[in-house]
Amino acid sequence: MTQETIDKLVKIEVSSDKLEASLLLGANINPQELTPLYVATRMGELGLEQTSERTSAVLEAIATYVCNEGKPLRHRIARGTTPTHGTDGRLVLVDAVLEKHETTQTTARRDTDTTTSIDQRERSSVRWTEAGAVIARIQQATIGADGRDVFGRVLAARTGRVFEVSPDESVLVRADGACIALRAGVVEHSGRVLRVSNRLVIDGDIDFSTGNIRFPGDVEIARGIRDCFEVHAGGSIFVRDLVDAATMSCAHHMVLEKGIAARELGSLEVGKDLSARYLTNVRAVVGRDAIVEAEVQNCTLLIGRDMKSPGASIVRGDVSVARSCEIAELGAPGGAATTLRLGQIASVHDAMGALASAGAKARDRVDKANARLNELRSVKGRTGPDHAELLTEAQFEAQTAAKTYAKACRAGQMLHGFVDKHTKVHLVVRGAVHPQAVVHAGGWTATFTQTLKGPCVIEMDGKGELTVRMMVGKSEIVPLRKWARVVREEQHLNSRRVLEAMGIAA
Amino acid sequence: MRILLVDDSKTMRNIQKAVLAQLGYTEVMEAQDGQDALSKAPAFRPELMLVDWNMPNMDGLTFVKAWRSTNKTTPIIMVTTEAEKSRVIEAIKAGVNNYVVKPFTPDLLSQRIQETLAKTPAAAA
Amino acid sequence: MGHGFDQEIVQDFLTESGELIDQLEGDLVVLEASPRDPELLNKVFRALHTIKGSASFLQLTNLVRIAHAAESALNAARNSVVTVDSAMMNLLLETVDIIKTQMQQLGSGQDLAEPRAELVTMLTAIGEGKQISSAGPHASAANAAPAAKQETNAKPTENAPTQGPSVKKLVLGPGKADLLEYLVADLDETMNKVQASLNQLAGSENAKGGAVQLAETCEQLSRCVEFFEFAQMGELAGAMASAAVKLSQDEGLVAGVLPQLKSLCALVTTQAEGLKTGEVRELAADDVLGNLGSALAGMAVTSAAPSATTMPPAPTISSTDTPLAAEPTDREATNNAAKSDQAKSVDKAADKGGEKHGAAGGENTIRVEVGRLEALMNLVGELVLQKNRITALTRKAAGVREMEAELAEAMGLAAGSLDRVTSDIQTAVMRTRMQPLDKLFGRYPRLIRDLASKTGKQIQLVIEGGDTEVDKSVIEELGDPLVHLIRNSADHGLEGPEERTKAGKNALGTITLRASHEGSHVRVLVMDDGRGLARERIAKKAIERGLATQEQISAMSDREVFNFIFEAGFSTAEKVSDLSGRGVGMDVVRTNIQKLKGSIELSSQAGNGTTVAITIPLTVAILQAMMVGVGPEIYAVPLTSILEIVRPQADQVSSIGGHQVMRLRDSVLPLVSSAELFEQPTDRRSEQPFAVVLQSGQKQVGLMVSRLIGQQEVVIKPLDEGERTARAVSGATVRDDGGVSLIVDVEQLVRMAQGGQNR
Repeated sequence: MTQETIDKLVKIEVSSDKLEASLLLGANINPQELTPLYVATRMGELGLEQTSERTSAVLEAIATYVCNEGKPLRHRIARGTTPTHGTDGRLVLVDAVLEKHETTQTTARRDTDTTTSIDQRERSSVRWTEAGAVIARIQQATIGADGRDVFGRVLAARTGRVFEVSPDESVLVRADGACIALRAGVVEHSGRVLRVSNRLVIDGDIDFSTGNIRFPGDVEIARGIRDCFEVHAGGSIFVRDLVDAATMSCAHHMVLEKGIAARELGSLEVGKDLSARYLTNVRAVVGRDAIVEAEVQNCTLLIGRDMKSPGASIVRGDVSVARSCEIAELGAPGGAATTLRLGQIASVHDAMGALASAGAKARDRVDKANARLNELRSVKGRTGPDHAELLTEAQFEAQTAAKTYAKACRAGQMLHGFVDKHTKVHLVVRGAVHPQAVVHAGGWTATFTQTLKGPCVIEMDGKGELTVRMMVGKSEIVPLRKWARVVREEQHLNSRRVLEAMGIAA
Repeated sequence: MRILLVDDSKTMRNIQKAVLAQLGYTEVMEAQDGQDALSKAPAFRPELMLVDWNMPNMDGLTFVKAWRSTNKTTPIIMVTTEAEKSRVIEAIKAGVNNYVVKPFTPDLLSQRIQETLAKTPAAAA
Repeated sequence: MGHGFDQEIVQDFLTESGELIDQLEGDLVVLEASPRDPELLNKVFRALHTIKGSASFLQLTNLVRIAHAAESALNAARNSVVTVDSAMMNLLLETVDIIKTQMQQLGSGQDLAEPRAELVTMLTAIGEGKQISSAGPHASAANAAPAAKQETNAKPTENAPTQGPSVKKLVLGPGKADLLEYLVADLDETMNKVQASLNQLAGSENAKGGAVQLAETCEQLSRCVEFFEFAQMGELAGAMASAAVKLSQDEGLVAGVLPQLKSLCALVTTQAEGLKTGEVRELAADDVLGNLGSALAGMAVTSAAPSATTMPPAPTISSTDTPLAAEPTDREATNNAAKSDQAKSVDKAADKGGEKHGAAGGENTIRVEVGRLEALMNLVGELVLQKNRITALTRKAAGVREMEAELAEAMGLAAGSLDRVTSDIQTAVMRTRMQPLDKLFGRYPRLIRDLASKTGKQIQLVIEGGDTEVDKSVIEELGDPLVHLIRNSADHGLEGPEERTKAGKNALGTITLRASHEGSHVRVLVMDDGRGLARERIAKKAIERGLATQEQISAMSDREVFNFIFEAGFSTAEKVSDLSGRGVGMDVVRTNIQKLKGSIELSSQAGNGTTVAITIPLTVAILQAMMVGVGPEIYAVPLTSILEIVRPQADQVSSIGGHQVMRLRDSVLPLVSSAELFEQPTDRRSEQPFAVVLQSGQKQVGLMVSRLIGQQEVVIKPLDEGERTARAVSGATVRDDGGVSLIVDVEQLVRMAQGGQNR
């Protein structure tokens, strides 16, 4: 076999991506001439360097060829490495935290439920994080690894792009890439922006699409709230549209731009001020002021401070106001049973009742213990150790009773001081008070029999009588009896009465 | 603060316990007489003991003497009656740190307890 | 140099006065505890007088001035015009310090410093019969005031003229007022019991029983009085009770303590009487209490060893009138009793003092220059060598055939007796250099006194075995390390009185110096009952200093960790104090001890104090050695370092990290080839069948040798420094066959072996 022949029969082929080289052997090459050295020389001509790996691949190829008695053969004798490209840095939101939070809420609610059915309204789709939770991680960019082709040339890898997050004061980015919420709220992420907003904005209604809302910050609802849904907020609640029979609570203010028509099903709890256009058939507890624009209809309201509704009429229902109350009308011209309680803090009212009875009991106990003690002490003559023991017991009882009583008295006085400071009888009527309206104030019940036309102020005078002071003309002061049947409430409970029950003075 | 009450009367122990609870001491063990106390005290390692004088089986004085033979420091308040008052000196010599005469008011007892503990250096630590 | 006297005369003066001043210092401290001891006063006075006399002969004006002033102050005390109180004691001690300084100056040819004018004035004033009140010995008044206050035990009444007891109206709380009548009745009975027990004690029929009875009664009394919160009465009753408890444990104390107890009994009775009429009587009792304290302490030490000092409270008596003389009620009875008791107790103390100091003063001694003794010592060293050679020759001769049996036997006998006589001579000569450790220990009561007042701690020094004798060079080298150790104990070891009381310890801290013979070694223990060492702190420091790693430390025993203290630059004291903790010290201590071929070990238990044990050979010049052979060479291994000699079997020996070790029972012993150590040809290394197990500190190492030759007494000849450290050789000696052997430095060897292991 000539040199030419063998040169033709033996070929080395390099793949187009230069990552592979193969040895092609034609048929019937003289094994004597097909030496590793020959192949190596051919490889060298192409610029393929020898490595032990390649040499053994060549040997294997030759051996296989010889064994196959000269059948044509294609054998890979060299391989390069592909470059591994770097990955770009990116932000990965930690869903688990959000999901988990949602589930716990749901289960917590379910536990209190006696029925096993799941309330669809509890399937809130609103996700928010607690402060301190890891809300996202920055996956760092990698630089990748360069590859080499069969000729040993470098195949450069593409370096990943670095990702940087620009957090605001609500997110802390740790050196390891973990992003931690610094406050509770909604995680907002867009591009490089990552923040936790303490204002939850619902674009539409609160309905099955959103589920009930429990959010630590402010909640803003662009439209209304459907029947029987709940909204609870750690901050304030703003509702732009109508509220049906919903249950709502918030620690700060509640602003209902339209109003609530609760059909006697919904209830409101407001930590600070409640502002609404109207309140219909709702039960509401307001920590501070109630500001109603138009009407309070058939509502039960407990107002911790003032009722500042100069334009509103209260029709039917039962409204308690701790301090001053300013309204347009009370009751309706046709006659509607409307109750207004002035100078009363509802929650304290119950406590007063409990305290009055406890105080009376404590007083009783003291009397009994002292009687027993006196009885034992009056025993004359020599007394044994048993007597001493009885006496010790009686003294213990007397002292314990005295301490309990003293505690009750202190509580009574405290309560009285509190009530005195935070209540007053002061009703400003811009329009009129209509017949069948009832005003409870200062131990009196005044049932209106005639229409009282304002503007006027109903107050207590120095003698404790209810009077009306006209705000126009001569601003004369007239007893309320002129318009209403005023009756003293025998059962009326006030802090002074509590103290009396205990046998002490204010 | 571990406190051992030694008194044959459950009522008295209850009263003492109530007074101790008001002072914030709730780690209390009760014993019915001196004998009972001697068997309970070593394991309980009381930091204060209230001991009645007149008890069946072993009276308070005997108990104090027995206890003081091995332990010199545990503060002991003796609960006595008027009748035993003339013998209080004897109890003090036996190692009683303070005493209270029945009938006593809860205030008096708590005052005696605080007074006694104030004088015991270990109680301050 | 101004005096221009013959150097020899000056030298004589320095030697003589130096001894006198040392003795004087010790005596002064004892005097403080019993300030009226006439014997002691005389002795102190005489010592000063002698010094003054010699000094005036040498025209050392500045020395004479101060000595004269001090002498006249002491004379006033001797004539009972004034009493030695702590203020005066401070002046006297300052005087001693000044004279010492002056003598040093004299020795080094400098001019003598002038004594502080104020000091001279004050001493002179005392000499004229003025009792100084509180002015301290220091130049600045600000400095003086607190020091004096502390030392007079802060009793303002002390130096004021004695007056009657202060009488206060009795005020009691409601629970206590009720009981007063019972108390008064009971006190009568109790005091009778106390009296009866005291009588029984005095009667010595059944002293033990009396003491037990007394202890019980006094304890009851003390509880009673404490309940009623009669402060002083409680103190007195408490003192009686604790004294009685001590008596019941040690009847030997009865004689010394009884008078004080009687006085106390009288005082308490007086107070009990007062209570009957609703009076609380404050009586002057510091005197009695002080005497009781020193009687208890003084006696306690006598039973163990010759001297001990309790500091503070130092008993101080401010007036020649006894405070007891002014009691108002039952004046006759109590007063007389107390007075006579007081007198007795003083006599007693005087007797004791007389015996003790008389013995020390009456020694029949001649003064020999140290140089001559050194020469004698060297000659004895030579003699020992020659004796050894003779013995070896005799042994060899016995093996020679031609030698007549009779002659051989006679030679043997002669060699034997030569051996005995030589060792007797050696002992005798060595004994001339021996001095009792008391010579050293005697300095420390003063040190303790200063430390106590500086630190505000209550410290007593107990000295045991002060009569143990050691070589003079040992005394010299041991002085500084002991000062350092005692300072350490006083400064860091012992807690302040409040902390001690809180920990349930006696407020009075104890430092014990105990010396004893252990074979050919002397063991000196410095023990304190203080807070002990904090392992963590030392460990932390050791890691900080890079002396060990955390892992190494956690594997170490407490003892090993504590021993870091001896490393250079190691100090756990967080702040540098005036007394110790300057970061140098413990390593210097160790170096000094090692110079003496001694070892130092430290053990400590948190809360229970620290003990430093120093072991030093009786003499430094002659060594008991095991001679071992390696090839043609013979080496001496100090016998005291050898634990045992074993013949390791092949399967016991293995190699760890390139180092040979052998399993010896339960432990692994690093092996050192002596052929390798002494750089002998390698082929010899395989022929070393014996392992000499050596110990230094807690560490052991096996030295492989070819031959064992036998025990020999060798005289150490020093080598130069470089030779020693490089080769683990501490010196050389001439063998009985005339050859020269190197002496193996075991400590260095162990350190090298350990170092090799750690690497």
